[in-house]
Amino acid sequence: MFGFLKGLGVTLSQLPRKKVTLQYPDVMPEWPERFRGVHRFIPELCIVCNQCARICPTSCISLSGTRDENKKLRIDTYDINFDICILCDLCTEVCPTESILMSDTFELASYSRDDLYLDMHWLYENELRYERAHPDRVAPAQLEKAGEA
Amino acid sequence: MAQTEETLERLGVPADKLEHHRLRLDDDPDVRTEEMLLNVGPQHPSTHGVFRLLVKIRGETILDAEPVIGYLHRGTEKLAEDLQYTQIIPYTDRLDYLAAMLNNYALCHTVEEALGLEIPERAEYLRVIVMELQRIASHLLFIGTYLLDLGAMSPFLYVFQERERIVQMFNKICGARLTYNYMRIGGVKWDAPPGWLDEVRAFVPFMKERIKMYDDLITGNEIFLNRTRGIGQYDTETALKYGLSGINLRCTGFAWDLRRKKPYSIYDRFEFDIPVGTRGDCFDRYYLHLLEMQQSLRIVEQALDQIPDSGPVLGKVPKLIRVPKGEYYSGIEGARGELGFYIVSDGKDKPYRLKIRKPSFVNLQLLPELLRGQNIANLIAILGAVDIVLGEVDA
Amino acid sequence: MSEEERKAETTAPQAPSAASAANRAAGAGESGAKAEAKPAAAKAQAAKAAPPDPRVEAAKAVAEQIKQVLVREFGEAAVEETGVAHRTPMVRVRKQDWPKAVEFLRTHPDWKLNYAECMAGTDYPDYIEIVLYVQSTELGHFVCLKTRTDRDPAEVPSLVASHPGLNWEEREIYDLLGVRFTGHPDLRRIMMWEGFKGHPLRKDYREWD
Repeated sequence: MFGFLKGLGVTLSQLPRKKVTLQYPDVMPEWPERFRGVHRFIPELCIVCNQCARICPTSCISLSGTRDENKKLRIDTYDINFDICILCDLCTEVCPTESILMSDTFELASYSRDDLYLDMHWLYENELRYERAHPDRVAPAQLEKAGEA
Repeated sequence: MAQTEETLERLGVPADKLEHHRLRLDDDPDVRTEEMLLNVGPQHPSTHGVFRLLVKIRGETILDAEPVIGYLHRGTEKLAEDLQYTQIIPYTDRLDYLAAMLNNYALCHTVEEALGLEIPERAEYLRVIVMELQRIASHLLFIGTYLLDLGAMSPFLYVFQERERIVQMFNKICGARLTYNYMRIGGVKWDAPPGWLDEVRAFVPFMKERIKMYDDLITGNEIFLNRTRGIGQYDTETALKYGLSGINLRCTGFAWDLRRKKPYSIYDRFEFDIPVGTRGDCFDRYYLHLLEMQQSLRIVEQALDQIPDSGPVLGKVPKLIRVPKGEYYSGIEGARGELGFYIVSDGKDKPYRLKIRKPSFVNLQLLPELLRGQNIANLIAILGAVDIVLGEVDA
Repeated sequence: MSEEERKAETTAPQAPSAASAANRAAGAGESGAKAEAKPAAAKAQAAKAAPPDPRVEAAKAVAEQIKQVLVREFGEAAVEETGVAHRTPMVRVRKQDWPKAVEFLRTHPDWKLNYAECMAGTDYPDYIEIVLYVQSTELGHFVCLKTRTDRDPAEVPSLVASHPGLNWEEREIYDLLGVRFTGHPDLRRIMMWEGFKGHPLRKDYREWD
């Protein structure tokens, strides 16, 4: 009987405590800087080295590029298949120019699988969205680059 | 009903004893009652995943039980044969998804042993801190879900408060809440962000208080005691024969913890005890989870005191990791038992064969033995205490 | 060899694991800056040129001892190979003697290898190898036992009688590698469903055949 009362005491002591839940989606969670959400992509920085596609454990990245008049490779298409992406962050780790990065976009639910095929434009939009939301996190050099574009 | 009465009459049962006999019919060895097959799962809240248990019952007594697994089989071992060692790490996150840090470490540890790598000091401490926090998070969830299985709702809601704090800390250090992919071969991916270690330090006294609260709330509760004391009992000999590990082995009073028995990482620098049970029943298994969380907190505290202020967190590792030809096995003390990776390498950058020694998988084998002869109501109490994660059982 | 001497020697394999921290500390000193750059290459070189690792040597000695014990009991042909799997003593036993040898070592007073930790099967081009890592909880030995079977027909006697905990491991190996464990009480597929064709962990497995 004593055990019950002791337990009940614990339960009662919980009553005046503050709520710990978040009223999502009315209140959105704050994600830390390292949060690994959907990728963002800066096409100007990409040198088409293909390292991200090669390191990807699920091979969900496909990209292509062509040489421009200065013999420099420029990215043409960059697609991530979010059907199979596991957000492991290895692609951003190997990227030498930090053109592929993670954002804090996390809501991926969709009615169609086709919507999960994210192309370069979507990913660049995501980059712009991220910059607007977190101006403090974006490096100045990166902002300049984005400004030029 | 009428038929039963006729039968009883035919057997010569006096009219005033009819009621009594009708109730006892089930236990009468001369009377054939029907055996029934009962499917528990694959979708059942207390199987913690997609696990099916085919139970043969007679009345309320379990005659036999047959676990059916494989619903979550993804072929991790086969997939790994086509992946570089670094690429396998995110796959290990998905084995025991409640203790992904430990899985990460188990793989990295085996590869590091094979390569003979030096791990930077700070990385070792960060690893130990996150691993012990992970163990606490995993044990918390066990306590919550186990009590939920037994019909107590509120502990399940309470444990998520502390777990949320741990998960948030992980989110800050590695950017994910469940599939961390934090460890790398030769170290860790990121150093702790500013203020992170202080956050962990602040968490320790909070957690200690909460453990005491759970002790008050659960351990003395008479209903809980009645449902777990003496239920699902086995001895050390059985446990060893069945290869059980972790708390499932220690609850029998056998102090077998790989952190002590085969020290890996820097566990030999910390002071901690190995709590053991006395009876080997479900209650002991529950209580050991509580005690182990205390020991994990002790380790975290010591690690926070000893961690160097700065330094590299990733050792000098070749860009393309090639494990020398040979075979390697090393196990660590996971949240559920001995988690081991066996790697056969032919000198390439991908393993020739990778085998995972999955603690839940091995621990689950004893289940039919434990269930035989038990009352059906004890099924969930016993299954819950084995503490399986189906992502790991099926791999 | 007196009883004490043998005891002293047989407890040798404990030392490496217990002294792993010391080894690490020593390794930091001896490898120095030059080895840091390419640890893998350095290690491979060290294995060829430098004096052999004492832990490996100790493991080899233990493997030899096990061989002697087994040969005394089952004859010269029972042990096909001794060596070392990384730093663990390795003994390869003939297929026919496999369950007897494992049971013998499980109950042998000097070895007591009573705790089966990990069992794995590997498909090699010419044979399938079954690996069993066993531990003595009392004496601290940690040994890797092996046996080999042809790829077709792949058949190995079962160990379930001495280690009931290997029941599912053997079922898994049967399921994924197609090794028939003779004498296994309940040899069915475990991960894949009944009626599945082929054994996925075999190297020649093709999904669309």
